[in-house]
This record gives sequence, C-alpha cells and structure tokens, in this order.
Amino acid sequence: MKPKPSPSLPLRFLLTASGVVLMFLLCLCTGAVSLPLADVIASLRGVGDELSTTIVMQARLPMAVTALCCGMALSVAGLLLQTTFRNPLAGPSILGVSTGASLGVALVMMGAGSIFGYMDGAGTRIAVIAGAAVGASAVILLLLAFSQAVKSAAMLLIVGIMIGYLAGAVVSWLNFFAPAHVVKDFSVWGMGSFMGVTLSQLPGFAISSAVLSLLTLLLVKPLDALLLGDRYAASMGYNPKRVRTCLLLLSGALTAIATAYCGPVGFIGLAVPHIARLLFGTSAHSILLPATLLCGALTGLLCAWLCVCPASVGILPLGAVTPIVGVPVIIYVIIARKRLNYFQ
Amino acid sequence: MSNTPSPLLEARGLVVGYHRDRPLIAEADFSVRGGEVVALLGGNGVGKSTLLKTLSGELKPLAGSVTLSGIELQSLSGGRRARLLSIVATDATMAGALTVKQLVALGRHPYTGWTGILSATDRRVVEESMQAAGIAGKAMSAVATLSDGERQKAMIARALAQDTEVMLLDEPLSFLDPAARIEIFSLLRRLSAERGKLVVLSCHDVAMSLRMASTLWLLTTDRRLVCATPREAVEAGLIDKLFDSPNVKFSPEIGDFISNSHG
Repeated sequence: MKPKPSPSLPLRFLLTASGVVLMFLLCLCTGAVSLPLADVIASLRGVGDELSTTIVMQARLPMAVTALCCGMALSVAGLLLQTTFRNPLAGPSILGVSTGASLGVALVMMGAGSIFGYMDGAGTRIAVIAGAAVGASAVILLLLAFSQAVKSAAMLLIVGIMIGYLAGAVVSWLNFFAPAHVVKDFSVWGMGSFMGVTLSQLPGFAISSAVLSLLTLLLVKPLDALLLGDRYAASMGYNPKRVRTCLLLLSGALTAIATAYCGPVGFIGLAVPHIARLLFGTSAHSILLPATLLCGALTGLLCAWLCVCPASVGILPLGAVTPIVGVPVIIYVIIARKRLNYFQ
Repeated sequence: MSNTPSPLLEARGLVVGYHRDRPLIAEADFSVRGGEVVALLGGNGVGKSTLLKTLSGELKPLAGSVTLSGIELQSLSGGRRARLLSIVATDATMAGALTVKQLVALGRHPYTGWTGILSATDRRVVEESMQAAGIAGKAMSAVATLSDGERQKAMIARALAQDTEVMLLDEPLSFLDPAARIEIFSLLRRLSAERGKLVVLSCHDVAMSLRMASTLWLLTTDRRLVCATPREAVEAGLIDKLFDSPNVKFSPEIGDFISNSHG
C-alpha cells in the first residue's frame, strides 16, 4: 500500500492557517497609526492603553473580521459556481451575480433614499441586505433558466457577463435620476470596502457569512459527483437539477451577504478557488472546500492590508486592490491550463 | 454464459426517443441476464445513446416499460437505482486533478454517509475494483496524466466500485487504439464472466463485437431493435441491415464489412 497522495497536506493546511493568523494580526497593526504587535495583543486582551484599544477594537478588528468573512464567503461562492457550471472561469462577479446584488442595493438605496432622504439605521441595513439578496437571486434564477437553453458552459458564461452589463446599465439609469447625496452614498458603497461594517453590525455579518460558508461543507459529496457531469451524478443517485439549484442559491446568498456589507468585490470569488487548487493540488472538495475557505480568508485579509498600507497618505478603495491580486492568478491559470490537471 | 435464473434487465414494448411523434426505436422487447455481454450496434444517430439513457433511467420511455431486477425502473429512487446500475459515459469530466483512487472512490457514493468517509469495506471495494480493472498501478496518479485507455479503465473501475449488477457503457471503445480496444473489451468480458454482471456497451466495432459479445442488440435502419447471438445475426444476414449504404456489405467469411464496388 502506497502512502497517502500527499503527506504534506496537513502541513499545507497548517501553513495556510498560520498565514491567516499572521495576516489578521498584520491588519490590526497597520494603518494611519502603526501599532506594535504587543499593543495590539494587549488591546485585544482588554489591557491596552485607551488610544490603541479604540483603534484596534473600533476600527481595525471589525475591518479584519469583515475582510476574513467576506473573503471566505466570496471564495466559496466562486468555487460553488465553478463546479456547478463546470467552468473554472465562473465567479460571482463574472456571472453578474455581484452586479445583480448591486442593482438590488441601488434600488433600495435610491428608492428609499429618494423618498426618506438620508439613509441610516438598522432598518435600512436590512433593506440593503434584502435588496442584495433579491438582486443576486434574480440573476441566479436567470442563469438557471438560461442554463436549460444554453448547454455550452462558455456560452453561459457570456450570458452571465451580458446580464451583468444589463444590471450595470440599470444601475446607471437609477444613478441618473437619483438625488446627488444618494448617488454619492451609492458610489462610495460601489467602490467596495471592508471598513463599512461597524462593531455593532459585525456579529450579524460575521455569523451569517460564516454559517453559510461552513454550511457548504455539507455538500462535499454532491460537488464531487458534479465533477463527473450530470449523467454520472444522476447514475450515482443524485438529482443533478436539484443539486445545482441548491448550490446556485447558496452561492447567491453568500454573494448577496458579502455584497450588501462590503459593496461589489470583484476577482476574489474567481481567483481564490484557483489559488486553493494550485496550492493543494486537487479538486476533491473534501480538501478543496476547506482549502478555499482558508485561502479566501487569507486573500480577503491581504486585500484589506494592501488597502491600508498607504494609510499615512490615504486608504485605497478595495476595487483598486482586488484586481491586482486576482487578475495575475487568472491570467496565469489561463496560460498554464494545458499543464494544470484540474482543467482536464 | 452463466444461467442466472431471473433476467436482470427486461423491456416490454419499449419505445425510445425524445419526442412522442418521432420515436427512435419502436416497440423493443428484450430480456438479458447476468453474465451476458451485450453489444449495442447501429449507425450514427439511430439511438444507441438514447436507448442507454432510457435504460439508465435518465430518460423516460415514450411507451412500454423497463424493469431492473424485476422492479419497474421509473419507480426506483435515485439512490436505490445507483446500487443496481452503474454507467460509463463518454461525457467530458472535470476530474483531472483527482487521483485514480479518488475517482474510483466516487463509485462508493451510494453507500457512504454525507461526509463521504469510506468504511473499511468501501476502501476494500475501491482497491479490488482498481485491481480488477487493471489500473491499481496508477492509483495515486492524477486522472489528467492517464492515457485514453487507462482513463477508460479508471472509469470502469469507478463503475465497478459502485458494485452494481448491471453496467451500461456508452461507446467505451471510441478514442482508443486497437490494442486498448481489445484490452477493454476483454476486461468487460472477464468482469461479466467472473462476477455474473450484465454488461451492455454501445459500440461501432462490429467485427470485434461479433467475436467478443455474447448477445447483440442490432438497431436497424427501420427503427427496430433485433436481439440475437453473434452467430444468429451473421447467419440470418442481420448485420447488413445495420447500415444503409449500398457500397458496403458484410462478409460472413471475413467477419467484417467490405466494399461492394470492388470485385
């Protein structure tokens, strides 16, 4: 009997997990005021001085937790979409799911914002989440409908991109007619940020995104079966249509939550599953799914850190950072696809 | 051929196709047992794949019935059916980054819980299936690194691991070189003989099917399914009814098709 496929697999998980912890602490240290690690840890334990405690607990901790959860949620959503559509280049932003969520948020912000004036409070937060969920689900349902007619995965991808453009166009129309202050609110949200979640909103976001992300671990078996295609999956006792619908709705919910709290965040959902496959060398979901969760957390934190790196000058919008991290991965994967086992 | 008492797969008045007004196969009746190797022969587009999809339960019959181990196929739940019938399809998979062992272990899905963790029995069946299909030497190789023949063996091993009495294979010999074709066909024959499985494969290689199958299902150009042994098929001149080409005829002496124009 030969040894396990890769004896270093636990080691890879350990390294990625330590990376997450290190990156998390780095995010707490970095900002307009650089804090030494000792002060950060003291603040976390509640024994730090007032200034650093305020900075860490009020601003940086919510940001880091948000980045971690958003990274996980979008990455898992991306993986589910890639397996569901059997297309490694699928992702929530590519398929228009993020834009659908944006449209939902725009409708809520501009509709409610125009009627009630300024937007704030828990009620509007819930309305924004609901808007994002409805928008993302609408795109998911459209994709499902099209997937019945459009058999080719590549063509479906293009349909998704088109739906994204269409939703984007409607958002532009809404912008055109909305009052100036709402447009400003929306465009700030539209640039994406891990800093919009306050300490009081944090538990709601962290718990919902983490629970949904972890819930996907229940779907390891059907996800693996889908790797072989619908015919095989059906012959193994699954109902491919039901599995697919379930996966799409779950990825829609994950995208909606992440988008509602952080704005549209591109490239993480598309690139991270590839990072996980490259690092862990498998597409077996029992390994790939937890690996994607970890790599997603790490990538989210990395992007958050890159945003605050030039903090003495200002903070970069998230939308200016995620392509820098994501695009090289995607281009590498496309160029190397003939050599990559998981593309075959 | 072993003499299992009851038929494993039976069809009565089976009409196969996608549209009620355009059936591909009309009123087929057949009954096959364990230990048989059935070669499904016919030209392109006569409905070989459609028939296999109907027999696997993927497609509803337009009329008539299919029974699997005496149970109406359409009444079986997906999970139940998965323990009775497995398939090897030609569909493109995204399994390249799985090891052969991981791929074969997918065959145990109908038997494992939601975690997919393999029991000692599951692991033993996976090992045995890889041995039987002659792919155990590649257990730890990524599926993407296999040759076409090896990949087909791995897919057959996956179906074996599913531990079903009936195995349906859709064109398992296409894309294979002649050596690999003989190897795969012999493998299927051996599995059928040793384990009493019913193996049904669709195939374009008439000559090889005549030599190696125990039963032929001939899909003729007039939309009928004719069931015969290879000898009967040759003696009754049924092979010529498979293809609608005036320039090609079947030569019983050679056991293969020859061109008419010459000689």
